[in-house]
Amino acid sequence: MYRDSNTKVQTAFRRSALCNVLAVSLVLLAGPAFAADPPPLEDALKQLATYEFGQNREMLSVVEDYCRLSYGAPQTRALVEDGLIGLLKSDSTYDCKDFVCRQLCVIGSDKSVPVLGGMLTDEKYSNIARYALEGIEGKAADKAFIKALGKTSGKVQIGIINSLGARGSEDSVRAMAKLLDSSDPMVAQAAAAALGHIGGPDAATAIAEARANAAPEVKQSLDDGYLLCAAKAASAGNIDEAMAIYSTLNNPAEAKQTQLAAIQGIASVQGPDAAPMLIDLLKGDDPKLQAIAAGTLRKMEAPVVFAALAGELPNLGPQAQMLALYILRQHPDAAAKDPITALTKSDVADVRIAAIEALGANGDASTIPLLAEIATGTDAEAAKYASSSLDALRGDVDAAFVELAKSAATPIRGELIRSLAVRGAVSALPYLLESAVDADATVRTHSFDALGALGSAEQLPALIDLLVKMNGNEAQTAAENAIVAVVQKSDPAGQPAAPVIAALQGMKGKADVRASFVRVLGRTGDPSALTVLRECANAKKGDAVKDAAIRALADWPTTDTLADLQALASGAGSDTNKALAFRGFMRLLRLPVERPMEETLRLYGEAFKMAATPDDKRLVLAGLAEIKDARALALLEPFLNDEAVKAEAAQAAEQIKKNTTPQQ
Amino acid sequence: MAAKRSSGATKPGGGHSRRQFLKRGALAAAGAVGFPYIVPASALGLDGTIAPSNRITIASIGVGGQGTGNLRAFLGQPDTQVLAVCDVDCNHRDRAKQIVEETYGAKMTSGEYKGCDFYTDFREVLARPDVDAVCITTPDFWHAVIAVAAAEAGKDMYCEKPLANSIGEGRAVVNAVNRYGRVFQTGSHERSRSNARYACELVRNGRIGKLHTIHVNLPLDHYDLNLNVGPMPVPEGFDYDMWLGPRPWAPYTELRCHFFFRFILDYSGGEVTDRGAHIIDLGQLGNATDRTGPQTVSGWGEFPREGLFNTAKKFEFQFTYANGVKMICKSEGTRGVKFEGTDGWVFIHIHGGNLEAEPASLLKEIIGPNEEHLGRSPGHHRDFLNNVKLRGECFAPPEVGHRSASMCHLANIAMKLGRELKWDPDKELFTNDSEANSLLMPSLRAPWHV
Repeated sequence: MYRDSNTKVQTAFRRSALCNVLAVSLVLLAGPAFAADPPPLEDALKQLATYEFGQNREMLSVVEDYCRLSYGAPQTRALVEDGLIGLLKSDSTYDCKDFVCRQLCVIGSDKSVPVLGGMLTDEKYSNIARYALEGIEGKAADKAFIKALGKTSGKVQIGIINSLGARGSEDSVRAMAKLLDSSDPMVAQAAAAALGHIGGPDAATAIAEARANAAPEVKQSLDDGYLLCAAKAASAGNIDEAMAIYSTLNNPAEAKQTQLAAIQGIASVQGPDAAPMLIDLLKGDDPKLQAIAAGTLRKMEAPVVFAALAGELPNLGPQAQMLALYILRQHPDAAAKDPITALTKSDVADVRIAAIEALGANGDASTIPLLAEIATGTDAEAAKYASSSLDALRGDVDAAFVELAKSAATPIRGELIRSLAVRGAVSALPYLLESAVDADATVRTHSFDALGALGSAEQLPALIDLLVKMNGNEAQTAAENAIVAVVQKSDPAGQPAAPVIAALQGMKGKADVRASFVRVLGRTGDPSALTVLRECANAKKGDAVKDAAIRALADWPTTDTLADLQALASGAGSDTNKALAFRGFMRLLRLPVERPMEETLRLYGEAFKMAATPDDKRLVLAGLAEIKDARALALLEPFLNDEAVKAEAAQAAEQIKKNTTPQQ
Repeated sequence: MAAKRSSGATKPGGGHSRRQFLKRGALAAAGAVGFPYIVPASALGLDGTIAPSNRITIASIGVGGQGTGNLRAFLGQPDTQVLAVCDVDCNHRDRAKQIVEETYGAKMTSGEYKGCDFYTDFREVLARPDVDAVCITTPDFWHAVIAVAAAEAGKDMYCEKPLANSIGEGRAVVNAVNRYGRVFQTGSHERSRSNARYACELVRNGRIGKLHTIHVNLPLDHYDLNLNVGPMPVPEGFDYDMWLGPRPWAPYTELRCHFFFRFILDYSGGEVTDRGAHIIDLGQLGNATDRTGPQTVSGWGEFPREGLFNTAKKFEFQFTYANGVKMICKSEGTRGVKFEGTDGWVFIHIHGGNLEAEPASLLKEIIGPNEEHLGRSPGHHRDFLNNVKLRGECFAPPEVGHRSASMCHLANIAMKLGRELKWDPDKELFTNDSEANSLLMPSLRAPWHV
């Protein structure tokens, strides 16, 4: 374990007077990471020598600690490396040597190279030696690999080739080039790949020569190596060298994926200058070339490319238009608006849809009427995309939405108002307060939805007035929703429901309107509303207001109304109101809250007293079954003999026993 | 019940030669995507579905648990045809073939379909010119080798997360995909959730004020990771040498393979790379650093000192970014990522995508059209298919997948070495520790390379 011990351990390590002798020990390094008596390095290495998979790994961990903690302590590190080298030279197990090579990959120096180099030609050890050597910087390791290259064949040689490629060993190019025509195609493939990774003119020349007479199974590897050489040349600024390779490979006679990669390579070198070539490919009839052209154009950043592409939209076939519209959706351009608009009338349905989608990114205020018309048209698929495009139009266009909405036919007005909400267009709030009393019901509903989404406390007085006006209207619920939404997103510290409370308290008569306010207050969950809700719920007169208040208390989001509901359920109200209160009480009782178990059990006892019907009792029993306290069993005992509910009581008893049985 | 078992001697691929991969250059030359996005009316079947000749053809490489999930996801897409499955375990392979054939058979008037080929060697899959795309759901350590070869063969790819098992392999994948212009989706599907994208939009558009800290919670599931096991005989029908592939040879033991490989550092990175590749990925997305990386990494890990498994059981590590933001990752807490800013915070629960925020009203914020939008995914697999058609960029392109996986690997390296490391995200090198650089790219067992 490295936690807590690192700093302490490292400091101790560096300061240790013993750290320059092989007997250096972790025993000095007291800390939670280590056993009470960890062995000195010498002993650890000795035990490691016989390690085999399946045995305890502790000794490996100890040696790993030595490797890690000797960082920054050159003398100690040298001792550790020497010890590991000694293990490689000994007759230690394979698993030991495998572990040692993993350590030398990190801490190994030129000192380790000779023994590792010797292992490279041994089929059994070659891979693990490569593991270590690939991590050791410097020419010595390269030389060891090159030396082994000529002494090996098959998989062992392939591994060495791969290592030289991974190291980017320029010194190996000449030897590697000779392997390109190896009789073993896998060796030739590996050499081609490695030369690609090394790169440079010599590697490229070797690959070019080998390509002339390449066996079919090696050709793709050579192509890939050649492409890698081109990419390396380009990133090194050798543009002519890169272009020469790409131009050679951009040939229909080459494998298709090679030609496609070459086209992309040319574009990466030429940048926007390659756009005409790519657009020509889009105009062609080869879908693979169209695809690579589109993918490459999409990655470009220069606006001039997209303006040019937009200009060619009318000249492209439907397939290419689809691809181009997608690009223009990602890279909007002012020049694209008109040609895209024209394509919204394409004969090809998919192109029409793609054009509508692209207008969302490329359109402006002048696009709104067209999109609104399509969004309210009979083509459902097109309407869906047009709505999304309206929502996505960028720029200062919200005022244009409002202006159009004022004069448009009702379906379009409704659509524009819907979109204003999605767009977060707070500047439209004054208009939305007007449109909330529109003659059209759908427009009214959309307007209230938008007011709820966009409004703030500032709009509450106006919304309250509107709710009064909407009494009995089909938009009344939408108006209530709008007020609830505004209150819920306001800062609770500011008692945002206060204007609604004031409106309720200031209103005489109009029970339906007051009931509406009560519903709103109940849904807001604003604690400042509880007093007035309690007053309404306990009113002597049973009317819509009282009903709404009891429902509000029953649906309250916290247990703050538990006592109110108990009183109401046990009181002298109507059966309906008592039933409402009882069910609300049970809902709140089952909410997960922190409460002493004694209190919870007491409340369940009260619930049983209130339960007037078998259904009520079942509700209490269902809640009781969730209790994880054996004392709950006593509460349900009387009901085990109650014919109406004894089955549920027995089930609850069983569940409580399960709840309270310790898990194995 | 176990699927019909084909013996190891059964020739896979319905008669394809095992050595055929050597010819992949010549064969694959005819391959790669070339279907039209616009499907002509004549290509529609009687029921309005897309005819097989106009579908994106897919082969699934690696069809264990997650691979089967991915396979089913693609089987459910109307414009996709799964042509083949590939796995080194014949049980997985045969079961996957059966799933494909039962799914398609149910749509045939005869009720029967026998058109799914099966393979043990992915190179034979890549050699097929009729395969447009491959789904790679092998163990982590195979991702890079297969992905690089698939790019060279001109295939588009859906590849599971973490993108690769080392930073060097991940960079090789990115380069190969870019070199061949392939479409690539990393399987970090949590970033396709609308809630996660919305939360990241809140962060990127300043709704929580100035972002200063990202908390990543990566609690571990309760597996017994202290088992000491010995060598076992390789089961019949399991090509163990191929399973090990590019990793150092090691004796077979059952728990080394399949699901539990993820707790062995040779093959994966434990919880850090497993769910880390999801959660850290979202942290990167919210921080707008998902195409780059941090400047420092440090931390501690509790690595088992005995037994088969050796990935960190407990850990805490942190990154610092050039923009001053800190990312703190711990193996505890509610699984997910929390973005903390000067004006509030937002938390994304992983595996479900539920959000919490303070103030809660943050979650009602509207992101206007003139603000930064991260788009909405039609589903991670569907997004991949759409981009295969339009040659676009998926929601988890290789650079993004690579950078998220790199964060996980950076953490493991820093914890293994036990010291703070300075990282250059442009050069992808440690600047204060050459020994740490030797852990960026492990040597691959011959003949494999990237």
